[in-house]
Amino acid sequence: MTIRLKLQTTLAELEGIIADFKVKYHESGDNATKQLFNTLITETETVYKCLTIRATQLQDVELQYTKDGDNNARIFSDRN
Amino acid sequence: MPEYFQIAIRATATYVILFFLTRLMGKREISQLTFFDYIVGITIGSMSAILSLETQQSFWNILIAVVLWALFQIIISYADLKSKTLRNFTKGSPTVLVGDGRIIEANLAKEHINKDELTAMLREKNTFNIADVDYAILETNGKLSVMKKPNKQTITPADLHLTAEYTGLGILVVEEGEVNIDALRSRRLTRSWLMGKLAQQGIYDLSKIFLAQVDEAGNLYVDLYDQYEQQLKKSTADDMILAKLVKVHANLTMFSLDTEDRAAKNMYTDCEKRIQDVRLMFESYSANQTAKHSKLREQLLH
Repeated sequence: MTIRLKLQTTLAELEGIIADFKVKYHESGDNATKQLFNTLITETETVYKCLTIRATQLQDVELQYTKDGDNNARIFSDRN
Repeated sequence: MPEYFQIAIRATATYVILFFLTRLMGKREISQLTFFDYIVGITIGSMSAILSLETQQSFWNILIAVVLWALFQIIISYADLKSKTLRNFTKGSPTVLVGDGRIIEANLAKEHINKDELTAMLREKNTFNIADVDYAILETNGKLSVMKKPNKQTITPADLHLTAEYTGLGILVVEEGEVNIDALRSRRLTRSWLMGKLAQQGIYDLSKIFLAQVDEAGNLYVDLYDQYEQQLKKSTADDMILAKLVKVHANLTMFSLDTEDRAAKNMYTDCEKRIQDVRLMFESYSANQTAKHSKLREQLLH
Protein backbone atom coordinates (compact mmCIF):
# COMPACT_ATOMS: atom_id res chain seq x y z
CA MET A 1 0.00 0.00 0.00
CA THR A 2 1.44 3.36 -0.96
CA ILE A 3 1.70 6.14 1.57
CA ARG A 4 -1.01 8.01 -0.30
CA LEU A 5 -3.44 5.13 0.15
CA LYS A 6 -2.51 4.83 3.81
CA LEU A 7 -3.08 8.54 4.12
CA GLN A 8 -6.50 8.16 2.58
CA THR A 9 -7.47 5.40 5.06
CA THR A 10 -6.33 7.63 7.89
CA LEU A 11 -8.47 10.41 6.46
CA ALA A 12 -11.49 8.12 6.39
CA GLU A 13 -10.85 7.16 10.01
CA LEU A 14 -10.59 10.80 10.99
CA GLU A 15 -13.89 11.47 9.27
CA GLY A 16 -15.44 8.69 11.35
CA ILE A 17 -14.03 10.15 14.56
CA ILE A 18 -15.40 13.60 13.69
CA ALA A 19 -18.82 12.06 13.07
CA ASP A 20 -18.67 10.24 16.42
CA PHE A 21 -17.76 13.47 18.18
CA LYS A 22 -20.62 15.27 16.47
CA VAL A 23 -23.09 12.64 17.67
CA LYS A 24 -21.74 12.99 21.20
CA TYR A 25 -21.97 16.78 20.90
CA HIS A 26 -25.65 16.60 20.07
CA GLU A 27 -26.36 13.96 22.72
CA SER A 28 -24.68 15.83 25.58
CA GLY A 29 -26.93 17.83 27.84
CA ASP A 30 -24.72 20.33 29.67
CA ASN A 31 -22.81 23.25 28.17
CA ALA A 32 -19.39 22.22 29.47
CA THR A 33 -19.55 18.90 27.63
CA LYS A 34 -20.85 20.60 24.50
CA GLN A 35 -17.91 23.01 24.60
CA LEU A 36 -15.45 20.16 25.11
CA PHE A 37 -16.74 18.32 22.08
CA ASN A 38 -16.76 21.53 20.06
CA THR A 39 -13.00 21.88 20.76
CA LEU A 40 -12.41 18.22 19.93
CA ILE A 41 -14.26 18.59 16.62
CA THR A 42 -12.34 21.74 15.58
CA GLU A 43 -8.98 20.16 16.44
CA THR A 44 -9.73 16.98 14.55
CA GLU A 45 -11.02 18.94 11.57
CA THR A 46 -7.80 20.97 11.45
CA VAL A 47 -5.76 17.76 11.29
CA TYR A 48 -8.15 16.44 8.62
CA LYS A 49 -7.64 19.55 6.45
CA CYS A 50 -3.84 19.43 6.73
CA LEU A 51 -3.77 15.78 5.73
CA THR A 52 -6.14 16.37 2.80
CA ILE A 53 -3.74 18.97 1.39
CA ARG A 54 -0.84 16.53 1.75
CA ALA A 55 -2.84 13.76 0.08
CA THR A 56 -3.51 15.96 -2.98
CA GLN A 57 0.19 16.86 -3.17
CA LEU A 58 1.17 13.20 -3.09
CA GLN A 59 -1.41 12.33 -5.71
CA ASP A 60 0.04 14.90 -8.12
CA VAL A 61 3.53 13.50 -7.63
CA GLU A 62 2.35 9.94 -8.03
CA LEU A 63 0.57 10.78 -11.30
CA GLN A 64 3.80 12.36 -12.54
CA TYR A 65 5.68 9.14 -11.75
CA THR A 66 3.16 6.98 -13.56
CA LYS A 67 3.27 9.25 -16.61
CA ASP A 68 7.06 8.96 -16.73
CA GLY A 69 6.55 5.26 -17.10
CA ASP A 70 8.23 4.36 -13.87
CA ASN A 71 7.45 0.77 -13.12
CA ASN A 72 8.12 1.32 -9.50
CA ALA A 73 5.12 3.61 -9.20
CA ARG A 74 3.30 0.91 -7.28
CA ILE A 75 5.85 0.82 -4.50
CA PHE A 76 6.14 4.59 -4.53
CA SER A 77 6.84 6.03 -1.13
CA ASP A 78 6.79 9.48 0.34
CA ARG A 79 10.43 10.38 -0.28
CA ASN A 80 10.23 13.68 -2.13
CA MET B 1 -88.30 -12.16 26.20
CA PRO B 2 -86.47 -11.33 22.94
CA GLU B 3 -84.23 -14.07 21.57
CA TYR B 4 -80.98 -12.12 21.74
CA PHE B 5 -81.59 -11.44 25.40
CA GLN B 6 -82.16 -15.18 25.97
CA ILE B 7 -78.92 -15.99 24.17
CA ALA B 8 -77.04 -13.43 26.24
CA ILE B 9 -78.24 -15.02 29.47
CA ARG B 10 -77.54 -18.53 28.18
CA ALA B 11 -74.04 -17.60 27.01
CA THR B 12 -73.16 -16.02 30.34
CA ALA B 13 -74.49 -19.00 32.28
CA THR B 14 -72.69 -21.50 30.02
CA TYR B 15 -69.45 -19.56 30.39
CA VAL B 16 -69.62 -19.66 34.18
CA ILE B 17 -70.72 -23.32 34.33
CA LEU B 18 -68.06 -24.46 31.90
CA PHE B 19 -65.45 -22.53 33.85
CA PHE B 20 -66.25 -24.36 37.08
CA LEU B 21 -66.62 -27.75 35.40
CA THR B 22 -63.20 -27.50 33.78
CA ARG B 23 -61.66 -26.45 37.09
CA LEU B 24 -63.20 -29.52 38.71
CA MET B 25 -61.99 -31.84 35.96
CA GLY B 26 -58.42 -30.65 36.48
CA LYS B 27 -55.64 -30.45 33.95
CA ARG B 28 -56.29 -33.88 32.49
CA GLU B 29 -58.42 -32.58 29.67
CA ILE B 30 -55.68 -30.19 28.56
CA SER B 31 -52.96 -32.79 28.55
CA GLN B 32 -55.32 -35.16 26.71
CA LEU B 33 -53.71 -38.24 28.11
CA THR B 34 -55.84 -40.62 26.09
CA PHE B 35 -57.90 -40.48 22.94
CA PHE B 36 -61.00 -40.88 25.09
CA ASP B 37 -60.12 -37.78 27.14
CA TYR B 38 -59.79 -35.89 23.89
CA ILE B 39 -63.22 -37.01 22.68
CA VAL B 40 -64.84 -36.16 26.00
CA GLY B 41 -63.33 -32.69 25.88
CA ILE B 42 -64.68 -32.06 22.39
CA THR B 43 -68.12 -33.43 23.28
CA ILE B 44 -68.46 -31.24 26.34
CA GLY B 45 -67.37 -28.30 24.19
CA SER B 46 -69.95 -28.85 21.47
CA MET B 47 -72.72 -29.49 23.99
CA SER B 48 -71.85 -26.18 25.65
CA ALA B 49 -72.14 -24.47 22.28
CA ILE B 50 -75.66 -25.87 21.87
CA LEU B 51 -76.40 -24.84 25.43
CA SER B 52 -75.67 -21.21 24.74
CA LEU B 53 -77.13 -20.94 21.23
CA GLU B 54 -80.10 -23.33 20.75
CA THR B 55 -82.98 -21.33 22.19
CA GLN B 56 -85.45 -23.95 20.89
CA GLN B 57 -84.11 -26.52 23.31
CA SER B 58 -84.60 -26.38 27.01
CA PHE B 59 -81.59 -24.99 28.84
CA TRP B 60 -81.93 -27.45 31.69
CA ASN B 61 -82.09 -30.53 29.47
CA ILE B 62 -78.77 -29.80 27.85
CA LEU B 63 -77.25 -28.67 31.11
CA ILE B 64 -77.95 -32.10 32.62
CA ALA B 65 -76.08 -33.75 29.75
CA VAL B 66 -73.06 -31.45 30.07
CA VAL B 67 -72.84 -31.86 33.83
CA LEU B 68 -73.22 -35.64 33.58
CA TRP B 69 -70.41 -35.92 31.01
CA ALA B 70 -68.13 -33.86 33.22
CA LEU B 71 -69.23 -35.82 36.28
CA PHE B 72 -68.40 -39.17 34.64
CA GLN B 73 -64.96 -37.86 33.77
CA ILE B 74 -64.39 -36.77 37.36
CA ILE B 75 -65.68 -40.04 38.82
CA ILE B 76 -63.61 -42.16 36.48
CA SER B 77 -60.46 -40.18 37.18
CA TYR B 78 -60.98 -40.62 40.92
CA ALA B 79 -61.69 -44.34 40.53
CA ASP B 80 -58.58 -44.65 38.37
CA LEU B 81 -56.52 -43.34 41.24
CA LYS B 82 -57.67 -46.23 43.41
CA SER B 83 -57.71 -49.23 41.08
CA LYS B 84 -55.02 -50.38 38.71
CA THR B 85 -57.31 -52.83 36.94
CA LEU B 86 -59.78 -50.09 36.17
CA ARG B 87 -56.94 -47.90 35.03
CA ASN B 88 -55.78 -50.51 32.56
CA PHE B 89 -59.32 -50.79 31.32
CA THR B 90 -60.07 -47.07 30.90
CA LYS B 91 -56.69 -45.82 29.78
CA GLY B 92 -55.09 -48.85 28.24
CA SER B 93 -51.42 -49.47 28.76
CA PRO B 94 -48.33 -48.30 26.87
CA THR B 95 -47.21 -50.58 24.05
CA VAL B 96 -43.59 -51.51 23.48
CA LEU B 97 -42.90 -51.10 19.76
CA VAL B 98 -39.16 -51.61 19.89
CA GLY B 99 -37.62 -53.70 22.64
CA ASP B 100 -33.94 -54.49 23.12
CA GLY B 101 -33.24 -52.89 19.77
CA ARG B 102 -35.67 -55.17 17.90
CA ILE B 103 -38.97 -54.14 16.36
CA ILE B 104 -41.94 -56.06 17.79
CA GLU B 105 -44.12 -56.57 14.72
CA ALA B 106 -47.07 -58.00 16.64
CA ASN B 107 -47.38 -54.84 18.72
CA LEU B 108 -47.13 -52.68 15.61
CA ALA B 109 -50.04 -54.60 14.13
CA LYS B 110 -52.00 -54.30 17.36
CA GLU B 111 -51.70 -50.51 17.35
CA HIS B 112 -52.27 -50.25 13.58
CA ILE B 113 -48.94 -48.57 12.99
CA ASN B 114 -46.98 -49.33 9.84
CA LYS B 115 -43.19 -49.18 9.62
CA ASP B 116 -43.15 -45.82 7.82
CA GLU B 117 -45.17 -44.30 10.62
CA LEU B 118 -42.82 -45.86 13.15
CA THR B 119 -39.73 -44.42 11.46
CA ALA B 120 -41.48 -41.04 11.18
CA MET B 121 -42.26 -41.05 14.88
CA LEU B 122 -38.68 -42.00 15.68
CA ARG B 123 -37.38 -39.18 13.51
CA GLU B 124 -39.53 -36.74 15.44
CA LYS B 125 -37.54 -37.85 18.46
CA ASN B 126 -34.27 -37.10 16.66
CA THR B 127 -33.59 -40.76 16.06
CA PHE B 128 -32.81 -41.34 12.41
CA ASN B 129 -31.46 -44.87 12.66
CA ILE B 130 -33.47 -47.71 14.06
CA ALA B 131 -30.11 -49.17 15.05
CA ASP B 132 -29.77 -46.41 17.68
CA VAL B 133 -32.99 -47.38 19.43
CA ASP B 134 -32.93 -49.46 22.57
CA TYR B 135 -36.59 -49.07 23.52
CA ALA B 136 -39.47 -47.27 21.82
CA ILE B 137 -42.76 -47.19 23.70
CA LEU B 138 -46.08 -45.92 22.43
CA GLU B 139 -47.73 -44.08 25.31
CA THR B 140 -51.48 -43.99 25.90
CA ASN B 141 -51.66 -40.42 24.61
CA GLY B 142 -50.27 -41.58 21.26
CA LYS B 143 -46.81 -40.16 21.70
CA LEU B 144 -43.68 -42.22 21.29
CA SER B 145 -41.03 -42.34 24.00
CA VAL B 146 -37.60 -43.35 22.82
CA MET B 147 -34.66 -44.61 24.82
CA LYS B 148 -31.50 -44.71 22.77
CA LYS B 149 -28.71 -47.21 23.20
CA PRO B 150 -26.22 -46.11 25.87
CA ASN B 151 -23.50 -45.12 23.43
CA LYS B 152 -25.94 -43.02 21.39
CA GLN B 153 -27.25 -41.02 24.31
CA THR B 154 -26.46 -37.38 24.87
CA ILE B 155 -23.50 -36.73 27.14
CA THR B 156 -24.35 -35.16 30.49
CA PRO B 157 -21.95 -33.51 32.96
CA ALA B 158 -22.19 -36.68 35.08
CA ASP B 159 -20.79 -38.77 32.19
CA LEU B 160 -17.74 -36.53 32.15
CA HIS B 161 -17.46 -36.59 35.93
CA LEU B 162 -18.08 -32.86 36.06
CA THR B 163 -19.87 -31.16 38.91
CA ALA B 164 -22.32 -28.55 37.73
CA GLU B 165 -23.24 -25.67 40.03
CA TYR B 166 -26.62 -26.17 41.63
CA THR B 167 -28.76 -23.25 40.57
CA GLY B 168 -32.21 -24.43 41.55
CA LEU B 169 -35.42 -22.71 40.59
CA GLY B 170 -35.43 -19.06 39.65
CA ILE B 171 -38.03 -16.77 41.15
CA LEU B 172 -38.99 -13.29 40.04
CA VAL B 173 -38.02 -10.69 42.63
CA VAL B 174 -38.68 -7.55 40.60
CA GLU B 175 -41.55 -7.21 38.16
CA GLU B 176 -42.03 -4.03 36.17
CA GLY B 177 -40.11 -1.95 38.66
CA GLU B 178 -41.90 -3.34 41.72
CA VAL B 179 -39.94 -5.37 44.26
CA ASN B 180 -41.71 -8.56 45.32
CA ILE B 181 -40.84 -8.63 49.02
CA ASP B 182 -42.58 -11.97 49.63
CA ALA B 183 -40.52 -13.68 46.96
CA LEU B 184 -37.34 -12.20 48.43
CA ARG B 185 -38.30 -13.37 51.92
CA SER B 186 -38.97 -16.90 50.70
CA ARG B 187 -35.30 -17.01 49.71
CA ARG B 188 -34.25 -15.32 52.97
CA LEU B 189 -33.01 -12.28 51.10
CA THR B 190 -33.49 -8.64 51.91
CA ARG B 191 -34.27 -5.57 49.89
CA SER B 192 -30.83 -4.13 50.61
CA TRP B 193 -29.19 -7.31 49.30
CA LEU B 194 -31.13 -6.85 46.09
CA MET B 195 -30.20 -3.18 45.80
CA GLY B 196 -26.55 -4.09 46.33
CA LYS B 197 -26.69 -6.76 43.64
CA LEU B 198 -28.36 -4.35 41.24
CA ALA B 199 -25.75 -1.68 41.98
CA GLN B 200 -23.05 -4.18 41.07
CA GLN B 201 -24.61 -4.30 37.63
CA GLY B 202 -24.82 -0.52 37.52
CA ILE B 203 -28.58 -0.29 38.03
CA TYR B 204 -29.86 2.28 40.50
CA ASP B 205 -33.33 2.94 39.21
CA LEU B 206 -35.90 0.24 39.92
CA SER B 207 -38.38 1.73 37.48
CA LYS B 208 -36.04 0.81 34.61
CA ILE B 209 -36.27 -2.90 35.42
CA PHE B 210 -38.68 -5.04 33.46
CA LEU B 211 -37.93 -8.14 35.51
CA ALA B 212 -35.25 -9.55 37.77
CA GLN B 213 -34.93 -13.21 38.62
CA VAL B 214 -32.81 -14.79 41.33
CA ASP B 215 -31.87 -18.47 41.46
CA GLU B 216 -31.14 -20.53 44.57
CA ALA B 217 -27.41 -19.93 44.23
CA GLY B 218 -28.08 -16.19 44.53
CA ASN B 219 -27.35 -15.29 40.90
CA LEU B 220 -29.36 -12.35 39.69
CA TYR B 221 -30.59 -11.97 36.14
CA VAL B 222 -31.87 -8.51 35.27
CA ASP B 223 -33.71 -7.38 32.18
CA LEU B 224 -34.19 -3.67 31.64
CA TYR B 225 -36.80 -2.02 29.45
CA ASP B 226 -35.55 -1.75 25.86
CA GLN B 227 -32.24 -3.27 26.93
CA TYR B 228 -31.85 -5.26 23.76
CA GLU B 229 -32.22 -2.17 21.54
CA GLN B 230 -29.83 -0.14 23.67
CA GLN B 231 -27.24 -2.87 23.79
CA LEU B 232 -27.10 -2.89 20.02
CA LYS B 233 -26.47 0.86 19.93
CA LYS B 234 -24.19 1.69 22.84
CA SER B 235 -21.65 -1.02 23.78
CA THR B 236 -18.37 0.70 24.57
CA ALA B 237 -18.71 3.45 21.99
CA ASP B 238 -16.11 5.51 23.84
CA ASP B 239 -13.54 2.73 23.67
CA MET B 240 -14.06 2.48 19.93
CA ILE B 241 -13.37 6.18 19.44
CA LEU B 242 -10.27 5.98 21.64
CA ALA B 243 -8.94 3.02 19.68
CA LYS B 244 -9.45 4.90 16.43
CA LEU B 245 -7.60 7.93 17.80
CA VAL B 246 -4.67 5.77 18.87
CA LYS B 247 -4.54 4.24 15.41
CA VAL B 248 -4.60 7.61 13.66
CA HIS B 249 -1.85 8.83 15.96
CA ALA B 250 0.30 5.81 15.13
CA ASN B 251 -0.25 6.38 11.41
CA LEU B 252 0.79 10.01 11.71
CA THR B 253 4.00 9.03 13.51
CA MET B 254 4.75 6.61 10.70
CA PHE B 255 4.09 9.25 8.02
CA SER B 256 6.38 11.77 9.67
CA LEU B 257 9.18 9.20 9.96
CA ASP B 258 8.71 8.16 6.36
CA THR B 259 8.98 11.57 4.72
CA GLU B 260 12.13 13.56 4.02
CA ASP B 261 10.22 16.69 3.08
CA ARG B 262 10.90 19.15 5.91
CA ALA B 263 7.57 21.01 5.60
CA ALA B 264 5.60 17.79 5.45
CA LYS B 265 7.45 16.42 8.47
CA ASN B 266 6.56 19.53 10.47
CA MET B 267 2.96 19.31 9.37
CA TYR B 268 2.76 15.64 10.44
CA THR B 269 4.34 16.37 13.84
CA ASP B 270 1.88 19.20 14.39
CA CYS B 271 -1.03 16.93 13.51
CA GLU B 272 0.37 14.25 15.79
CA LYS B 273 0.38 16.70 18.69
CA ARG B 274 -3.16 17.81 18.02
CA ILE B 275 -4.46 14.24 17.86
CA GLN B 276 -2.58 13.44 21.05
CA ASP B 277 -4.29 16.39 22.78
CA VAL B 278 -7.69 15.32 21.45
CA ARG B 279 -7.08 11.81 22.73
CA LEU B 280 -6.07 12.99 26.20
CA MET B 281 -9.08 15.29 26.45
CA PHE B 282 -11.47 12.60 25.33
CA GLU B 283 -9.85 10.04 27.62
CA SER B 284 -10.31 12.25 30.67
CA TYR B 285 -13.92 12.96 29.66
CA SER B 286 -14.61 9.24 29.30
CA ALA B 287 -12.92 8.48 32.65
CA ASN B 288 -15.00 11.23 34.26
CA GLN B 289 -18.21 9.63 33.04
CA THR B 290 -17.20 6.27 34.52
CA ALA B 291 -16.21 7.94 37.81
CA LYS B 292 -19.61 9.63 38.00
CA HIS B 293 -21.28 6.26 37.65
CA SER B 294 -19.23 4.55 40.32
CA LYS B 295 -19.78 7.51 42.70
CA LEU B 296 -23.53 7.09 42.27
CA ARG B 297 -23.09 3.40 42.91
CA GLU B 298 -21.29 4.03 46.21
CA GLN B 299 -23.91 6.52 47.36
CA LEU B 300 -26.60 3.94 46.82
CA LEU B 301 -24.72 1.18 48.56
CA HIS B 302 -24.22 3.14 51.79
